Amino acid sequence: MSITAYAATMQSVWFSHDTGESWSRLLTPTGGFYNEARCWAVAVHKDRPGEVLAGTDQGLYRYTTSAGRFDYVPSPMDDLHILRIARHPRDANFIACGTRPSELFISQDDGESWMRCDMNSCTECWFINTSRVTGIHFDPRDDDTLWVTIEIDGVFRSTDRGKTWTRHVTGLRDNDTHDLVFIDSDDARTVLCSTEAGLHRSDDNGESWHYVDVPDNIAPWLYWRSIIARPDDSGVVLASVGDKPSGEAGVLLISHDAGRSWRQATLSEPVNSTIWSIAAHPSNPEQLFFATIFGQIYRSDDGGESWQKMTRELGEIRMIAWQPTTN
Amino acid sequence: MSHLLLRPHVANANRDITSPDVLIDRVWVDQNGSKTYLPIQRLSQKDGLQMPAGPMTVTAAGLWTAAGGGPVFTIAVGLRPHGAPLQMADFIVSRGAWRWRNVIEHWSSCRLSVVGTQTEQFTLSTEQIPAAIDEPSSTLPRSVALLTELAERSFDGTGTHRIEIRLSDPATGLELTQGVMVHTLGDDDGSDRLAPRYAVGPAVEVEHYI
Repeated sequence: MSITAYAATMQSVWFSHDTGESWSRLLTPTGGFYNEARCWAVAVHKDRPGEVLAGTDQGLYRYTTSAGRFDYVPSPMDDLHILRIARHPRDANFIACGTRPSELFISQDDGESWMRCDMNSCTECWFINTSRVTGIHFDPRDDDTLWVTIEIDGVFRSTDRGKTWTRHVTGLRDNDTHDLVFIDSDDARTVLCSTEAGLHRSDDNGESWHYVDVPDNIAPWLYWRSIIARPDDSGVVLASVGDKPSGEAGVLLISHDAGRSWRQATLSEPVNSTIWSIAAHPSNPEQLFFATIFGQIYRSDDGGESWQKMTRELGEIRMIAWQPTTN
Repeated sequence: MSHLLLRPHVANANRDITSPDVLIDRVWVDQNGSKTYLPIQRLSQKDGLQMPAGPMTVTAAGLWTAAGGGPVFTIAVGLRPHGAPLQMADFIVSRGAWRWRNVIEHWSSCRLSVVGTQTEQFTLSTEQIPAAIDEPSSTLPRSVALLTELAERSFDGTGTHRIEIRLSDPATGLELTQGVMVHTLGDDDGSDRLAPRYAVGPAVEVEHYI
């Protein structure tokens, strides 16, 4: 299976058609947007092969293989930074975008119309001045439930497709939340939350959180960033930990028991900064990528156990994704 | 679902700056205690406005924004054709701003100037403070801005003018300034300008361009 990988960078979206070995971007005259546009988010969907949504500083864009370019998607977010895009796993028409300031906009008609959600997240933050959305997740079990992480305001949940929201921060050591992962079994759910002050775990669907003490020799720092469940129901979870944002060092951790124990994955060489994004796709759970914020790309062909650094670096990468190539 | 992303630079007496970007989608106008609304698209943070030729009314306005760290106060220049209602004015909001709690206690000592062809100075009264914001702890709902007129003057708007309002606070030594270039419609209708040029980049013939 040939794949296409995508990297959202501070100079547009880059494409790789050879499993990360080489990268190129669309040309400004025909690509749909300025190839130095700042892009924070790329999103693919298993039911929309060849399609990519990109969140930029110029609005929302949609790439399709048939058009071979990014087409502008009208939305209320043109003057905002679109930092996160999520699509409902069972309904590709349901799109959620998170921005800076920390607002959430949702469309249930594939981007034709948009609703600004009333999350009531903080409007101001001493440390970063303006809060922002760091993660959006559709609940794997409940079609109507969305989860959002805010920097710096905690975890928010809506059980009615974004109409009303509740905030879930009990037990968090820090409200600088970055990402969530859900591990469901027949009779239990574990939610893991990465924060700037370590990993947290909830066994009551986010009602309360408990700090997860990971030994220093495994996680040398507290800055947990990206976290994903490998899409094969194996209970394997991958998470990144860096020295700080943006950082100068980092590790990738892997857990085979839903986050109870961790060890460091094997990297071909040390990373240059915090690992900002990890990419998986259900079509091949063994095929993974991660990107550091300062432009390095690593690939794993064995489900995250070992990683090879790609030669090409891309300056500043905010998100990475991949999907099977379509013609 | 229109909005304005307000980008205030909030300064205090120590010259510390914080810059929370705040999304606003409702503007309340307080006129002697009664609340009306201003369409959000009439608020901007541009540096100029185009206006029909003729007498204009300049409004020096105060604007409060709901923000998590406490209401933010700033100034705005409003312009409308003379005789038009305030709701027809376009307001340009200053990027400079203060935290309201740092101003309210010495509001009456602040000095407001409107600078056009001549400078007029105004003193402020606590009666000008809208009831919704008349205490340091007052807050506004999320995504709402409150605007009120602090001073008004008329001028003959022909040609290009610069209008500026300044609000100085002797207690902190801080000053808010907002200038607006006013271009009269028809004063330069653009017909004397050259046709737009097309650059091909590499020195080759371009046979087709979208």
